[in-house]
Amino acid sequence: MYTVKFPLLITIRNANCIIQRCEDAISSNEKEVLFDFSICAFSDPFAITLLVGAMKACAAKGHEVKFLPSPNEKLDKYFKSIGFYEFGASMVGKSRFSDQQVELKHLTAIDPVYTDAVIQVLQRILRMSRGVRASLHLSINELLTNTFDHSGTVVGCFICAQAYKKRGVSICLTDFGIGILKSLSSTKEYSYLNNSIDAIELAIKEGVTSRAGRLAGLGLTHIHRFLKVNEGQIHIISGDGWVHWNYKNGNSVIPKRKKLAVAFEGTIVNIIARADGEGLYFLTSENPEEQIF
Amino acid sequence: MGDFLINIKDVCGRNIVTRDDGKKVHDLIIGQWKKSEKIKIDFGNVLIASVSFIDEIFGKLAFEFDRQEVGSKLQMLNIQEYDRALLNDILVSRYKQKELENSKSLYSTG
Repeated sequence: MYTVKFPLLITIRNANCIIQRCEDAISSNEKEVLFDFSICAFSDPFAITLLVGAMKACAAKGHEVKFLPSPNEKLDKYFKSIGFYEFGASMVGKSRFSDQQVELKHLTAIDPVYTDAVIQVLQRILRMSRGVRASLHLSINELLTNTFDHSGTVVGCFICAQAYKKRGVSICLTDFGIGILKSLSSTKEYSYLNNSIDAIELAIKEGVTSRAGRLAGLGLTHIHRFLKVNEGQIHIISGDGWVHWNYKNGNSVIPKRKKLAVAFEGTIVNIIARADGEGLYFLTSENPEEQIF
Repeated sequence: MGDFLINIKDVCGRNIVTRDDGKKVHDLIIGQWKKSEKIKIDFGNVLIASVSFIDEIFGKLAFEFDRQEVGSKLQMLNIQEYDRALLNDILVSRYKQKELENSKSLYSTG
């Protein structure tokens, strides 16, 4: 049996180690893989979507996936309530959305009903303004659209969200597709790209898309514009690149760039947004005369 | 020429996120452009909040018609404030892109 043991805090701060352990588990030759959460106390949407994707990938390779649950009752109860041990499959017959918990979901296509439900749960917990609510709705829509348009994923993606009364909202989407570098460099225009960090930074720029010759390339730009005025954060991990924008201290931030020890086969986008404030103004033009409708 | 009404809910149902969803509405608008005096688009007060959907319907029009023609031909009904702002933002962005592309091609042929 191959045992993969996770740290106390399975969060994006420990992305390097968690990704490495997940990739090791997927590539293991053992028949059984044990996901060991025996010392874990907290998990964020990043880790949840990545772990469930890795567990599913192990199962798809014929491994028998086993769990050693966390002794931390709160974490174990949380995992159970969001469908973690069912790999994000719909929990038929069970309460899919509680008042306080957003269900982890494995999506193979865009599901507007799920997006609506996520926003409703977040709203119940945080009572956000219409603008923030709509901007989060837009963010989920664009993340899902990007995944299904560009990632080439055959197994779909995993999405999860958490609401924190003081810190706001964290939403993460993980796909096991071809990654941003392969997606962009497959086009003539961006064929010069040769590293994941440059590809990630390029992907957020307006008009940059792998849809050659077609209208696109605004989605990630809009998410960024929202997070800038919201003073939020975004992490994008793809291949061996990890770029983190933190707009907490103003919007002229220099992104943090890291190279992962082990490349992640796919793309992870993690958004952290403040729930207070107003989210509409990022769309307001400086020149009202430019408005057409 | 009369007016033509497009009800987003009737055309797309709940599928109001992707470019493929938006293309259905765009094709309807193009089909009616010369036949109708005004094309009214009823959003049914449903929040869209999708750049892809709105860009596919309206962003494309920026490359096909000038802003005055788009402004006078189309009328938005029951649209949420957020979606109106998003629509204007996308159109402004696409008209700027069009201007930039036009000026580039002027320089390259000049």
